[in-house]
Amino acid sequence: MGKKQHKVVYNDAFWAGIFLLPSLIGLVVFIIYPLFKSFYLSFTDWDFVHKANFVGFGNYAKMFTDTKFIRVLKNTLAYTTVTVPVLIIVPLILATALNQKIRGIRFFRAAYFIPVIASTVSVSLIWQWMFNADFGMVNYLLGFLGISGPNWLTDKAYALPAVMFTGVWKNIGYNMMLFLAGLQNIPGEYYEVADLEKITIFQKFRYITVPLLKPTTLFVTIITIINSFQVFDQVVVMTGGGPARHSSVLVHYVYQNAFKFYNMGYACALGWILAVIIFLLTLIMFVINGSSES
Amino acid sequence: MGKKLFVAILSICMCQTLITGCGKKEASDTPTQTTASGEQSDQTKSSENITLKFATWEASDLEREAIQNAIDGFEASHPNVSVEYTVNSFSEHHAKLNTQINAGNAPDVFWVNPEYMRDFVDRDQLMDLTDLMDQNSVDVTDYLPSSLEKMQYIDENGETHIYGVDCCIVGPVVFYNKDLFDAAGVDYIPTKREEQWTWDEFVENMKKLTKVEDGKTVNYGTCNFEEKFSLYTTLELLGSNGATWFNDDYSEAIGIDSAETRDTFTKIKELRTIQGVAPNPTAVGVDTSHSPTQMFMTGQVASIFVGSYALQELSQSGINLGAGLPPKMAEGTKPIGSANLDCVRKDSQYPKEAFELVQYLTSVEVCSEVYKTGLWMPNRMSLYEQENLHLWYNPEVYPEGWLDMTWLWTEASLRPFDHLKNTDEIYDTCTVYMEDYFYNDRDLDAILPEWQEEVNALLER
Repeated sequence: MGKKQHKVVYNDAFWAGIFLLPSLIGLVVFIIYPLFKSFYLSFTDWDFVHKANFVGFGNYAKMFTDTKFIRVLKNTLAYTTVTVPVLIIVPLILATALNQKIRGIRFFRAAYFIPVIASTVSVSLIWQWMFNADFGMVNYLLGFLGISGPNWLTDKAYALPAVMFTGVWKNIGYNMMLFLAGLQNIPGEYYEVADLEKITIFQKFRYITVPLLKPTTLFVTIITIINSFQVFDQVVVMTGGGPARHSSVLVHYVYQNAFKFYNMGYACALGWILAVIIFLLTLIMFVINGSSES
Repeated sequence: MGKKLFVAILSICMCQTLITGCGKKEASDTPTQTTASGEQSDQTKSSENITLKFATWEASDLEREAIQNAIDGFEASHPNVSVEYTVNSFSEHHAKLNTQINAGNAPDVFWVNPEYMRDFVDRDQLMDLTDLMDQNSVDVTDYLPSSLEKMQYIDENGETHIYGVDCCIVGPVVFYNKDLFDAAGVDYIPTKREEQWTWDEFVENMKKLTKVEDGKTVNYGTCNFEEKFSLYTTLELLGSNGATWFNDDYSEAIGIDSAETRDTFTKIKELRTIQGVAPNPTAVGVDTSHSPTQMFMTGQVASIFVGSYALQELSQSGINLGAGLPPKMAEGTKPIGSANLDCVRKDSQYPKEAFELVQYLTSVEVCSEVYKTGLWMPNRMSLYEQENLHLWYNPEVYPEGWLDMTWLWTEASLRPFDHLKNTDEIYDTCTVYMEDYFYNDRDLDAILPEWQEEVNALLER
């Protein structure tokens, strides 16, 4: 009796695995490995140079007494609280308006999408000048209304709102396109029946569009929340986190700790806290969505 | 099957490229044992074609051009060496360098701002050039006192090391637009020490230069006293006003919370908030060294308090340019000066060539060409003697009266922050508190004690 010979089966699963290999390797090298490594480093005092010494939960405990962390967390939560509803409601309205078969509609769709494809740094630079207290367009236009505009980027009351506005302006087109795709997947029969029943536009929106758009809305909400927690470029370019950290956000603080202050262990811990917050919020969204369906 | 096999092989090649691309650059197959004196025990021959990587930050396009010209000269004199020159933004230069050093792909030669040098030395990232300097008989006695102090790092045992070579000095000067001064009937800013304006005289003259139309200021007298908190000009004003922020060995902050600091910050802020002669500093736009000069070049401000490095750009701007002394404070003017150090990476594969590049870039012959553009000021005492002025002084670039002000550089002290460690975190702390005062109107009596305490905590780390 001979040795059992294993025959390699070159079936579709084999070839699928081969084709997936580059992406899988990239996933492991650039995401999974750094994820675990950063988790380990979050329990150390690594500073890029010296040996990483285990400090237990020291980095996590430090956050509770770190006034800078508390400040940037508050700013980040404020940023999310304001921008997420705006980036759901406004794009939805725009998408509904642009879901028409009228002449020139593609121009408007493209116009709203252009900020999305512009680089965040370029957009931030432009809006930095727009918000310039002495020479910016915003205060110039406000002057026509008889309003003396504030020092947007150096006033603690307005610096973060200016950053929020820029973020909203940049991303509104993206969410609009997602909603537009969702709207176009709603069967037209529902609206035809609604027309026969002589239902108003607002009733159609409320009882047909919104419920049938729920999966899209959930998706848009989740990615908008995640993106809002990851805001960084606008802050660095427009305000540098100032004045006095009134516009600094969590990712900016992580960056400073990692690459300016060489507190890599603490930066990793901050990163993990950010990930946990995002995870919890996403979970809440799923629960809310699930309970509303039932 | 053949097609699938081909695609599979292609996929594997892509994977290999992916991993190779992000891999650490390994040392050459020929082991290179380098010592602090730069001797190599490997078989590297002087005729081998090598590439040195060189990184700087950028103050202006003209500066980049000047450095490139110097590099071209080095390559011409070293046919087997090519220099790959990269320019980073100043604010990210040191963070990027540190990341590159840890990733193993850092440049061989790079600029280090003196305020970060001690951190780099502590992290054992810089080559000790002391022996190389001795072997090459580099004469350090001719350097300006502040230049020498900048280069010499004294370790815990009291021994002096050199980790970077100085090429120049820069320090704050007031540049002004003569046409705007003429139009307002204001005397030019003095260049002679005995005629230096007091703070009040300066403010009065700036008021004459400030134009308000329909309740809106269309021209400001001055700018950049309230800089965007790199503490460049501010430190000079503080020192001149008698504010000594640190003790002798810079281990403790003792004078941040002081009457002199309060007075200095109040004066600076009042230029904008009370006298109305200076704009909001964010009006200058992006936080780079370009920004204050850009505003000055548009004619919207009549004068600017900025580092002397701005002269290179301003002299070519077409403005009828003047330069003068900053207003004197309670203790006159105590000038401070500083500039980049040319350093070699500790584990550079080509220490000999790297040091030769450093020597070339910091030599009088090469630097003189840059001094003539106004970008840098000489850092050798002998160059300020009458018979050597022709080596750097270009009357077409340097405004009238510039030679009256050379004491600003020859008598300059090293910036206090050049003595510190954990500099980035200390700067961040200072920026936050200064913004709190200048923009959030928080009381100095509340800010300064907190500030000093926080800086001391960072110095103790």
